[in-house]
Amino acid sequence: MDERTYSVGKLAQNWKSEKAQTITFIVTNDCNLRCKYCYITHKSEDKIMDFSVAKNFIDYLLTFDNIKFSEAVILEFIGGEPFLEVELIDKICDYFKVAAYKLDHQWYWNYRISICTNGINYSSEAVQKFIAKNYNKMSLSITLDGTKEKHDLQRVFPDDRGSYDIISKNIDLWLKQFPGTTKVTFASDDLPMLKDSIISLWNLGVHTVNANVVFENVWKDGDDKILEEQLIALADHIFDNNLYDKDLICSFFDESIGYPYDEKDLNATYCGAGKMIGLSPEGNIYPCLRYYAHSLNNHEEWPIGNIKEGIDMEMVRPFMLASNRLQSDQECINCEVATGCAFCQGFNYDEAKTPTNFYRAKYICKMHKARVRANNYYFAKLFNKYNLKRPEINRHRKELYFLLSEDYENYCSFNNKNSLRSFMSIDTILKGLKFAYHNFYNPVFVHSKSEFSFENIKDYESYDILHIVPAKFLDKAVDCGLKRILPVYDLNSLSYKDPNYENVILNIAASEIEQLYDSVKILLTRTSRININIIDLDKQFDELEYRRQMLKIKDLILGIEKSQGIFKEVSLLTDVLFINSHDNCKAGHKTFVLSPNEKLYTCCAIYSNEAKSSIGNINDGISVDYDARLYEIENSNLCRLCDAYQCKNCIYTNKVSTKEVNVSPSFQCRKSHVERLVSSEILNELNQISKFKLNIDKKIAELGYQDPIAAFFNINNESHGYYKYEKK
Amino acid sequence: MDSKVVWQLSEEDLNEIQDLFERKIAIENLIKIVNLKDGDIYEKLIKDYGKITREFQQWWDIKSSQYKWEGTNWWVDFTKSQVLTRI
Ligand code: SF4
Ligand code: SF4
Repeated sequence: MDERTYSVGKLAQNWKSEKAQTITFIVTNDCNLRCKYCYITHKSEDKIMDFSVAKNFIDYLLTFDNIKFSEAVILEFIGGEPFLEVELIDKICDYFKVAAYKLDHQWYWNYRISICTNGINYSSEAVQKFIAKNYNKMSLSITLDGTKEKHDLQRVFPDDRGSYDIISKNIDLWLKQFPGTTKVTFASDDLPMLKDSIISLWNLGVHTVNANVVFENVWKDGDDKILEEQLIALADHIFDNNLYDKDLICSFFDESIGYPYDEKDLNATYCGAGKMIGLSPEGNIYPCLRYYAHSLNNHEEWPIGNIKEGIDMEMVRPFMLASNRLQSDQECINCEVATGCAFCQGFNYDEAKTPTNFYRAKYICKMHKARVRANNYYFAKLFNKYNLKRPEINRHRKELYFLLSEDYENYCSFNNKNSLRSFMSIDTILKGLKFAYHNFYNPVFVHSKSEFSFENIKDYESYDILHIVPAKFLDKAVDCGLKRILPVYDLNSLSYKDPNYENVILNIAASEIEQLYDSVKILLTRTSRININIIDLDKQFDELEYRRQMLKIKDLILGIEKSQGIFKEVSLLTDVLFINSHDNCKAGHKTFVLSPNEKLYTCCAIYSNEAKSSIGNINDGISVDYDARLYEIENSNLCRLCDAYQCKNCIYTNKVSTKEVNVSPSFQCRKSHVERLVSSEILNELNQISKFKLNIDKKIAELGYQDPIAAFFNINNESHGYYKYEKK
Repeated sequence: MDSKVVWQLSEEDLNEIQDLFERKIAIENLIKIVNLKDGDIYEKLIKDYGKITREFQQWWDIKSSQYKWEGTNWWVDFTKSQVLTRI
């Protein structure tokens, strides 16, 4: 097992993050600094929490039984600058500890005190006494912005003096007492110092840097470019100095960002407003401190209760029902790189036209996209140079298929009959890669059927490229250093032995269907998964023979599961057990083709058979209005009602057979429903094998038809006309 | 200080030792602020402290012999679920 891993690209683990309730005490509105990016726009010296306010609040929380308690609690103290009130914090903590212990409340031991300070009075006697008393039960970070220049630009005293020199005197003491964690915020002016700031923090011994850019409307033209360049320069520094696995963290690099939302994301929201509880000095309770007046500019504050009357749960309901689906606009909902795009609900509320929480401010949009690009660069290099992969996240990113020659290998159900004339030039490949990088396409290189003369140049190292390679050229592909390879077999190449790829393609012509089982049997001895392409599908397709072959493959899969406890996957039969949405080729919607002559197409078949129908080129991007909506599965009256999710639904077959890209011919549907039927038998039999532990939560309903056009007629029997379809 | 990872803890083992650790420290920190005058709770605290210290030590005794950990004076890195020893 390869146990090597990386730290840059992972996020710091928070203490009991999933299980802990955060309770925030805003102990003062005052601060000894006037940081330029601070969201607390209304600072005041006279708003200090009285101990009795905190005491009543703690009594309420510990004894009120209408609150659902989490296992653990985080007592967070903020300001202004919280340590201006260290004696008060100390008193509150002591009261909490004893009160919880007396009540035998599990929070008496399952708690953390969390403070983020500007560090000015860190070494004072009072602060040090407090730390000693609560040692091992505290997390404490000092906000440091990196280099002196960057720090002093933003983090200044009321008289505009920088605070770096004073704080840096306290750093050694802090790092002896706590693991070095800090939060750095970047705004427009200090972006050019980003790389140096992060490096200087790491050098200082602050190993975890939680960095972000501000949400406010401050971003100028070109700021996104600067952010991207800075992050790429930082990535290069990490590689040049082998820092990727040295327990350093910079949260700008995050393995989980940059994917489209899935259903779960759409029902979630970004931050924890409403799950946290904030208490103001006046004794009002908030869903998060950002709904307290001190940081709002446009709308009135939004309390959800107070210490006298407690929390009004009716007022908490909007926060329980907040979701990306209702807070985001269509651009964000459909965004290719939405995950990790941050927002603060309190800020959103303040920015909304009407005082609502169902709104999202998106000044950060281009900055997030720049961050995603830099992350894609970092993780591509991490993989290509060190063989370290970011975890696979099962979301459809857009793909750009580079047809490296006219005789590119078949990789879907289209049979490419063209012969080799020339190869795509390196110059075109590089242009294509830049286009893919900029527009968030995963690059896929489809190699020639007849010749392998690919030159794997160093410039490709910055891109994570999937190579589709005919099995007979696998040795050459490995020799020239290709990393992510998807081998392609056909009846002529089954005997080529390869070093056991997890995942392979098997191309088989519709006319050769009686050899399907034998081919699958050979390949399953050395791979975990086969993606089958039935090529040249047409009206003559032998459905009965196909069914016989698929039933034999079913028995093979179940036999291996029973005898070896290994579940082998054959795409057309097993995918439907694991997915709940269509996994077709997505041509013209999520996948596109780049031809050797730099043109863009919806799919390879259109390029090979109708070269005139390009939809753009590598310099201008997609510039032709090709009615993109028709390529989305939701806009097919057949497929949207169908659950044969494994179906490849080839848009070219549709176009050639029915004239419409979103209308499948009956033979393609019927073929997919043969697969669906056999899949349901697999599911039934798997459920009877007790040791089967794949945890499949799936039901495949029995249908009274094999052509899903019946489903449409069921809801619209008027449209029937004279059309007659075969029921079974 | 040079250290060596001697064991990767399972989630169950990690949760056990983390909770024991949290309880032990909580009581130690409480003892710092509760004084003898607080009669009842002071006594309860001392009892609880004895109990948690025993449970804590038992965990180390049982796990170190069960998994045959190399060295002595182990500690846990809770962020990485690892047991370490000094080398
Ligand atoms: S703000 Fe921009 S980057 Fe973020 S999710 Fe919306 S569209 Fe995507
Ligand atoms: S079987 Fe027909 S309706 Fe179902 S997904 Fe395939 S093409 Fe669409």
